[in-house]
Amino acid sequence: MSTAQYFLKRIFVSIIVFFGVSIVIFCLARLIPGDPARIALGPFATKEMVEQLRETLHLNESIFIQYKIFIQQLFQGDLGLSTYTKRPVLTDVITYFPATFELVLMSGTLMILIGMPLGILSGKFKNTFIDHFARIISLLGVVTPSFLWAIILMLLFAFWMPILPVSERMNEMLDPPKLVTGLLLIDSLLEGNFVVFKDAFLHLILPGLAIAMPAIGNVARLTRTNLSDIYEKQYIEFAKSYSFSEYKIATRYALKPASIPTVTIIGLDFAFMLGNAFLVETVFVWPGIAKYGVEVILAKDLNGIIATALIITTFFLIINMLVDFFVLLLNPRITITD
Amino acid sequence: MRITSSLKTIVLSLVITIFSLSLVNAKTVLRTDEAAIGEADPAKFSDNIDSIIMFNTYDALVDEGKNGGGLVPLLASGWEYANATTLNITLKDGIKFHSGNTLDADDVVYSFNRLMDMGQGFSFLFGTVDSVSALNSSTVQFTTKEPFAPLVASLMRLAIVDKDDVMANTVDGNYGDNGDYGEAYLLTTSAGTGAYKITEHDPNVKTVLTKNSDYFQGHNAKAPDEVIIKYSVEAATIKTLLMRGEHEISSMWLPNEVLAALEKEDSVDLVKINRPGSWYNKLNNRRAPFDDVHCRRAIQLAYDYDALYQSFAITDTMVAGQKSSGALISGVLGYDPNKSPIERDIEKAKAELAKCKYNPSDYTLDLAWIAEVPYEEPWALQLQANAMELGFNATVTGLPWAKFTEQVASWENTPHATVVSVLANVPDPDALMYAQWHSSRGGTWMSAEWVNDPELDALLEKGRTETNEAERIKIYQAANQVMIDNAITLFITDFVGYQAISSNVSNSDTTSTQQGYGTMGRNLSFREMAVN
Repeated sequence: MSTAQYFLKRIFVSIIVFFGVSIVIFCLARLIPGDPARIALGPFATKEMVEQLRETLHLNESIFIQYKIFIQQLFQGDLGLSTYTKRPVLTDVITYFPATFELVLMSGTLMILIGMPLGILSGKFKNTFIDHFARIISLLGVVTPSFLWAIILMLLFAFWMPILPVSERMNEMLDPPKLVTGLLLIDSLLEGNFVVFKDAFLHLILPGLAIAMPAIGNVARLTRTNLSDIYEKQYIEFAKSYSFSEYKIATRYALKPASIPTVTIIGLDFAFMLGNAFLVETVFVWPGIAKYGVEVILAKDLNGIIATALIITTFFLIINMLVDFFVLLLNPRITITD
Repeated sequence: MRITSSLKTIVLSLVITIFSLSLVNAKTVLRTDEAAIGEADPAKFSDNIDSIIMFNTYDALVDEGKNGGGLVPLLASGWEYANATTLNITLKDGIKFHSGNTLDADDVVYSFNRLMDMGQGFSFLFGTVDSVSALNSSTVQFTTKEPFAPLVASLMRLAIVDKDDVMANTVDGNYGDNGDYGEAYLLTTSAGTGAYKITEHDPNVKTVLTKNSDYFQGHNAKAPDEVIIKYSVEAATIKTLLMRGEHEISSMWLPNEVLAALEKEDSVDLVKINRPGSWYNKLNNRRAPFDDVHCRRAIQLAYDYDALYQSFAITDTMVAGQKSSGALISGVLGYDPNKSPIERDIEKAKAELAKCKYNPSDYTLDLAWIAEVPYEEPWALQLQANAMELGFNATVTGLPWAKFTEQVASWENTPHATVVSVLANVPDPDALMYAQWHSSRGGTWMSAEWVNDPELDALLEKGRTETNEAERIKIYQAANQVMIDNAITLFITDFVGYQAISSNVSNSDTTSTQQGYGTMGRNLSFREMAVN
């Protein structure tokens, strides 16, 4: 099987997984107690209005018919109406997804930029003060949940040392850049608006770090373990005996194989961040899809729930495929068989 | 030398010009927060945040005067009853909508029909209205099916929309010839006459209001140019923002420990607000043993109101609650500030229990609180402890709101007692009492008592039809006494809220607009505030 065939097969399986998840979420969402139409219209709405909304949402149909309608609408790019925000779910997704995506990109970058060097230093200087320090940081990162990091970071850098902004994506006194991608960093650069770029970047630091901290710990610990194992391999000893430079040994012979499991974890953590950003988004008043996802569950907004779940599913599937691709690049010994 | 000097002059002039321009263009912003989600459509306004948006962006025909000032004309210049079922209202001249259109009687008729056809929000307040018509461009006639005294008070909740503006932005929809009634348009904008207009609205994130400079009642000279209402912000974040000077007014929902911490800060003031509502522990009057008035009285007398009151303490001197003297609350017609609060008396409770036909040990009381509101749980646990003092068995359950509203549809499934809060939508006792305790209204979350008391029914019906205000006060005070004597429900406390307000917002102006309203959401009048 060629690489292209392998990835085509993966795409096909991903589509099946996507529809499988859609069926499960579609059914589970309907098990939440309460009438979505009544919740949407409030306690004082008339029975007629509630019934009319039930009709509009096809809630009086069987669950099979409802799913069929959902899939038909999905193929037309229509995710239905949100009973929570009272506007098309697609509008909600377009509004909220870029905020979370930009945040997760920041977190992913911090995870790689901090986690891997921390793991490399720890593995390289095993059982030294540097290693102990890095391991403590990693352990704290792993055992402390993101929302607690959010509060700690806010206390440190926004309350006691007020040097970083603490709410929303940019200063409300600034005019936002013209909407192109929805990612403020990119849109402000496209516009050449460096004031907004700097401001948006500063706003990303605290929430980005809060989400990244557990993943930084994971990446650092895994990199350290793998690097330590690699440094004990005979071929490293062989390279040392030939007086190869430390830098060459580290970058060419040790780090590359050591990073294969790390890449897998980075990919998974990256995808997890999207769904787990809820509490951090709440603390930092971040208008993202993770916070929206929880709000629509509480409001039993069926279309909102399924849209959020499917976005996170799609993100997982894409990230998994990208991880496989990078692992193939990093390790040429891996061959694809039937 | 001369060139350097000239350059200096030019640079200095530029700096001064830019500085002056920035002063001219500097806008004052007031930032506040509330629980999501905020509605922008006046036909969908229903809760606290909607009410804040409503009272700042739309006007109604009547308003509530400050500090118990009764009902006063707003868009109306006056009103009179042509007969018991016909109310004529005249409009003020020359009032402009945000669009620049002039208000006339057709706008009022359109606003009413839109509200009723859409059947959401405060439409339930107007169930007795038979028709609304424009007698001429400045007179509107409301006809009711039967005499209905609370009609004028209810009109506080009829936000008047700009008919021409809405119709110009109507698309196809569910309402026949009226298309979507401008539903899509009014999702993100406003079409009222209010002191502010909506310039940005995301129901889950924030609403931005911009000053309407042409507002007919004017603004405080230092009123904010822009108001940003943020939704569902964490208490810890609000505390940080307030202390950094990046937030001006907190919501009323800050936890007591955060309020206690903010109370120590010089840059923040805590302002007391008499919120128009109460916490109740609603007794199911139809389910044994509470279908016996003596059992209800016993539990009413055993409930430890002092302990409940203390549970609202922020500091030794600040308590976010007020001991209740019954169904009539501060700001609502008939409230008597001198009436003594209900107190615990365990000996009298035991004496009442002795008269009850049921043996308490035969019953396990099913006590509930709303699971989404965890701070209600102690009040249910307090009732459990007091009920067990009397010999009842009792279990306490946190019921999700959706499940509670389903269970309450039949009296058999309604818990023996449920902790629920109710806010007054208008400053009229009918809105609070009829919907909760008239025997025809059992089966809603507001009427979990399933009351069936002919004496109370008669008084509530009389209160609806009596148009003399002094008589109405007597009627509702009598109804209140029946509520207490027959232990219809348990009054936990009346609402008192505390909002943390930055010292940048002038306190003298703020506090005067924060107190004494009997209508949910009326206390935050941004146009009357001063931001320094």
